[in-house]
Amino acid sequence: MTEVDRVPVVLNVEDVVKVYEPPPWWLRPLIRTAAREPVEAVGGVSFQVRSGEIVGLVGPNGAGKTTLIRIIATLLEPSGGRVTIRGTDIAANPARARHSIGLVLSDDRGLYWRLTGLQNLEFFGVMAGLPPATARARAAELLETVGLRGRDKLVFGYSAGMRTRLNVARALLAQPELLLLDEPSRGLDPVASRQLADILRTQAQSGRAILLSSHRLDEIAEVCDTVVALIGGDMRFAGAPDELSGAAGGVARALATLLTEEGNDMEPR
Amino acid sequence: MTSASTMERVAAIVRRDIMVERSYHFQLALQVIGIGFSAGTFFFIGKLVGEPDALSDYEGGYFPFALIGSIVMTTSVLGLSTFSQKISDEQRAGTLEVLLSTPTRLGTILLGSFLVPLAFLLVELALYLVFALIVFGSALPWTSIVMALPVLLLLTIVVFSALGIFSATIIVLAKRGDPLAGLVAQSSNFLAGALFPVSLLPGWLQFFSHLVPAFYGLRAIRDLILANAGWGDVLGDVLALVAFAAVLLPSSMWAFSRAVRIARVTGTLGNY
Repeated sequence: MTEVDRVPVVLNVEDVVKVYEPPPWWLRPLIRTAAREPVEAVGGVSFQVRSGEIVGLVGPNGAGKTTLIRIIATLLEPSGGRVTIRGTDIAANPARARHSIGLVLSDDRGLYWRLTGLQNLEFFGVMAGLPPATARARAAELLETVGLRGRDKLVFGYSAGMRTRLNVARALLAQPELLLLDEPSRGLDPVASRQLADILRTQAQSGRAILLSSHRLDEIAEVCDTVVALIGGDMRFAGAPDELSGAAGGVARALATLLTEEGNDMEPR
Repeated sequence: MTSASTMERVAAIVRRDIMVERSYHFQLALQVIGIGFSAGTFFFIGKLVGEPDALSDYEGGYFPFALIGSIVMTTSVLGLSTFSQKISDEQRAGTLEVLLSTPTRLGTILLGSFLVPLAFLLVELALYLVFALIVFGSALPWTSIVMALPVLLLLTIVVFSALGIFSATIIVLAKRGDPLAGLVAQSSNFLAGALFPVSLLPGWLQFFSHLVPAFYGLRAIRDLILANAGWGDVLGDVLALVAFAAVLLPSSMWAFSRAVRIARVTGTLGNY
């Protein structure tokens, strides 16, 4: 057994498949979906995230990254395969799995804009299961962690970067074992991206398992211990960034080369 | 670590909604003004029509008759629209998926989201009664009002909340354009006789009135308050409301949980 094998697996994704089926005919007047034919968004993806590890999920638009993160977050039912969080099958016991998950979705919504940052965190803390007094203390602590202490105001007055940091703080409220982030750095300036990377590294050092989906190849190369590359729902690469670093131009360039082989538009920044 | 209780979660939702409502400064003031105009309109229509023959079974003429109609319909609309409105608001804010990724159950979220609108309704009803008190003083049977209104409005709100959960089911799937809430509200207003006695409707339409839950709530409240009836006289209407609740509540909850499951499969949970 290697040293890595001794680190506990937090997230285990086994052969996960998601096919978006058009709704049955009797529901079509109600549900409008993009799919008129069955569309395979994820086709048999398997990987693990261990405690303290940051795994980067990379791929072009439509690669299946968001679908995969929503499946793991129990928001979307897979068509096949199995996901376990600390050994709990999320399909069999989603309520228990949700105690272990902190989620940041890909836009800067997911917050109440008529409340302050602190009020948002206090509210979501209780929803995440914290007793109110604990939620209050944790909210104040996390506002400090993400650099928003002293700048608290109604969320509609926040910049995109501040909202992203607040979303990260929200996801960390209940000290989840698994942090899921879907393109959190989208729309962030370089300084805000750097701050986010620092937060993620600190969280990983404290033992949290992190799954980070991103278009930013430089961010993936810099922050992640492991990279999972998806193209058209299929896994094309899974391994340490070092395994790619032989290519000229470094890891980001190597990832871009890997992903553009399929004719997509990923570029290193 | 101990976990927040269901009551603590509900209280957090109530606190959130109060803070959001407080951030809209004129909401309550506009509501009060609206009630004043509405009650004033009924009062002057009452002066215009006097004591018509069609209302001979009831005391006080048109004003208290229409005021009770308005109170019951306001209560019905709250039950009917709150759940779908809340689901729709959360979808638009992007908070629905965030909330559903937490261990808090959807039922707790919906229950908590209902309480602040309910408190607003109680304020609204109190204002209607204050208006009636100013106009009528002690001429209205206040003991009957205090005994009849809470029980029958509670039953009415339970029945219409079930219909509201059906409406929220459609919103979860279709996102917008729920045809149910508007149709039920308008048909109830018309067929239950909120603003005129059902006896004025043609016979075949009166048959349809009996299919509308608000009809029973309205008839029972008016009979108790304005026709000196006793609880024994309105037992049939009370049982009809209980029967509606017994059928509609579990079936609406089943339909809603099915809709959420379908949205989880189709990936449309957070769409709006």
